[in-house]
Amino acid sequence: MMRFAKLTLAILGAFIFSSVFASSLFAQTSSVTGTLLDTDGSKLKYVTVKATNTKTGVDRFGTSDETGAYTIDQLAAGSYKITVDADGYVIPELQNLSLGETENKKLDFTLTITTTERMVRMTLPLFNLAEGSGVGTAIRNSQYAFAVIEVVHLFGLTLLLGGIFMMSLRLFGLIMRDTPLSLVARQLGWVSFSGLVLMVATGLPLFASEALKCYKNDMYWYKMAFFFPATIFHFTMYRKVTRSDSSAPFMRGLTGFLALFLWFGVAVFGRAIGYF
Amino acid sequence: MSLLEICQSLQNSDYGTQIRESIYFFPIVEGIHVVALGISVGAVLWWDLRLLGFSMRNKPISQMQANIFKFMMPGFMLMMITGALLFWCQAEKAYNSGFFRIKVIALVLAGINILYFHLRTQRSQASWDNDGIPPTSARLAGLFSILLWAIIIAAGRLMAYTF
Repeated sequence: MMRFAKLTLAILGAFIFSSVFASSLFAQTSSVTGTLLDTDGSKLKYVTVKATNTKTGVDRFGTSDETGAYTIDQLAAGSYKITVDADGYVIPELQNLSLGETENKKLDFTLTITTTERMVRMTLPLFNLAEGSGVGTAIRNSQYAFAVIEVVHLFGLTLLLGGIFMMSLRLFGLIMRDTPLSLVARQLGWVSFSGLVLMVATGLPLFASEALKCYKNDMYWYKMAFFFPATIFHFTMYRKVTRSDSSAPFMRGLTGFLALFLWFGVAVFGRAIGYF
Repeated sequence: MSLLEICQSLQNSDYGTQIRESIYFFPIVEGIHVVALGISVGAVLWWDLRLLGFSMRNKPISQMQANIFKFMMPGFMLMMITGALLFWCQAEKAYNSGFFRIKVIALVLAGINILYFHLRTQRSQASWDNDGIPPTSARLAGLFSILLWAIIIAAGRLMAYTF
């Protein structure tokens, strides 16, 4: 019995030894290692680095650890394209990194933060502040507050878009041709202005109640990308052109087009926040 | 077939399901519905403000009507089409929603308000067409219209919530 056990063990041992030996003979033992930093000097944790064999198209991946160090191992000799895919950074690519047999190349990356990401990071404290504010908390804790404020927000939209749309029709010369532009502007100005006041007055508390949701929502950022230019435009070019009776038809057309484009953009992306 | 059954079969129809479960179609239709709201109700509002004597006082009401109505109608068509699509894919939910019922009632009342204004009040329009502040019957039509549209908008938005 003892002899049988010894024999089995010996065969098993030989088998394991030979398989390890064989695999080391054919192993793909080249590797790429390095450290990922961003332009601010901080280490990039848990970011994936990809090595694509330019001949076979086979991908191998490595992920950076807490010190920003990564390793892609078991690479066959050959030529590789290295890419680092990190959200919010300009994606670096290194073409034609050639690896020999059992070669370890060191490859450090310094990634550039995109302008958007930098802006987003700078504004995060504001979002945290809004989310934690008394107004935000009160709305979240109330069953009806959000819905009721949302309804008033929509009333504001009707006034604002209605005023803007009618004014644009006059700017295009499609309605009220016999009434001076400045007169129409005076009659409609307070409609769209009170709409804008309502929208901002209700928009701020709505935002406070879900600031962090907005922060992660692309549609919110698109809305703001339309909202700020739209507001500036409203109180500068739009105001000036609609109140003048001597502006050129081209300027009027352009103003009407810009007003519709900007405010419709605000409305559409504002609605879309709820879906993404 | 009861109304509920019709709503159920609408919601469960192939197209209803496709609209409801689409990633982009539903939000896009909803987005158009909201923008068209600004256009159509915005135009109605201006018209109502004229009837109330709050805006465009020196413009004859008939001219105001001729200018605004040709743009109001396409706006309402757009509202109706997108609204019908939205209804189609959630007909049963709408049937069971108190807010949707309020919305439909308010829409019917708004229609009656317009018809009454058109068939009765406007008969004597020649005598007050140029008035900055029209007679009470016309002002009331403007006031009812604004109130009813506010209810329609509020009820429509609140349909999304279940309290």
